[in-house]
Amino acid sequence: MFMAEDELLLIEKELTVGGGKWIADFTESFRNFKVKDLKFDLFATGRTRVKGFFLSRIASHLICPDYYVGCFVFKAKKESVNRNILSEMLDAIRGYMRKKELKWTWLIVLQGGYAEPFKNFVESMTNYDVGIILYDTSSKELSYNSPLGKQMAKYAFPKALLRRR
Amino acid sequence: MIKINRFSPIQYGKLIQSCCIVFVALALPFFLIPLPIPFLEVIFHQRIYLMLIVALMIAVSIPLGWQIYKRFYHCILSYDADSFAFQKGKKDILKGQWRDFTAVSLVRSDYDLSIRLYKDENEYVDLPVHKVKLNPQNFRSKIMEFIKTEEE
Repeated sequence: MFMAEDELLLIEKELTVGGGKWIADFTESFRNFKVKDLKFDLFATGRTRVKGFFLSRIASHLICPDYYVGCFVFKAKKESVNRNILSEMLDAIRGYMRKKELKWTWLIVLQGGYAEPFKNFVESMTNYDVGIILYDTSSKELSYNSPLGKQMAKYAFPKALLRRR
Repeated sequence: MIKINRFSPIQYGKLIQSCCIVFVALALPFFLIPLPIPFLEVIFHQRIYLMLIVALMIAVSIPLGWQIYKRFYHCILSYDADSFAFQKGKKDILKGQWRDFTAVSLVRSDYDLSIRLYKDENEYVDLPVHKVKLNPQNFRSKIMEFIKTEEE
């Protein structure tokens, strides 16, 4: 059984030193990161071009674009996340992206249970700038949008938090 | 009474590196200085002399290596609720008050994690906590209690 802090810690570790490298080289992470009036529990930043050693560095330089990217993690407290709150978060995130010139961002929401229409709404969204991942802390299942959210869920979300099949 | 926390674990890798530097420096003359053949024959054919010389070099390189390590590599982090000081070797590298900083983050460079303290958006200092073998996540939580994180 994971506590709230453990979940955040696992996500942070996975992003910075784990599978997050398949998405981007996340090198810096903040806790309690404020954007406008919203406080995100975790914010990790990095670049899509990984440093690597000799050959991987050359390959990365030739193949990977050098985008500045970020990943926000929001843990629902009293109020559960719905369409309005998600819309507020996306507005805040897009404002921050414009200000800091971030090319892509991800938003991971941790909450115990989501309404089915809300999950369907997120899954039907097609964003090319923000990837959204909903993590159900009670059922340990993921819902995500495409294409960015799908990639994050597939490669960089900690497997320890998911239900074993 | 203010409690000052102090961390100064020995970095064994750096200590061994320092001792090896001294050992190699002592061993080099045998390869570079042309010693008289009879002298070399005595050293290399009578194993006891060779072992004595190696033992002597090890005995000298350990205290000298320790001095080099203490002078250049040994890291000490001390902090309390108001301030911190990070010292590497004999010189002070970082000193500051927590109240001078507005935000804290965890930074990875290669495989080491450091704590980054922001004065403002562009000015920051890095505390290499991995060198004093502190858990960076736990230490960040402590620092966040010391400073009020205000981010936009």
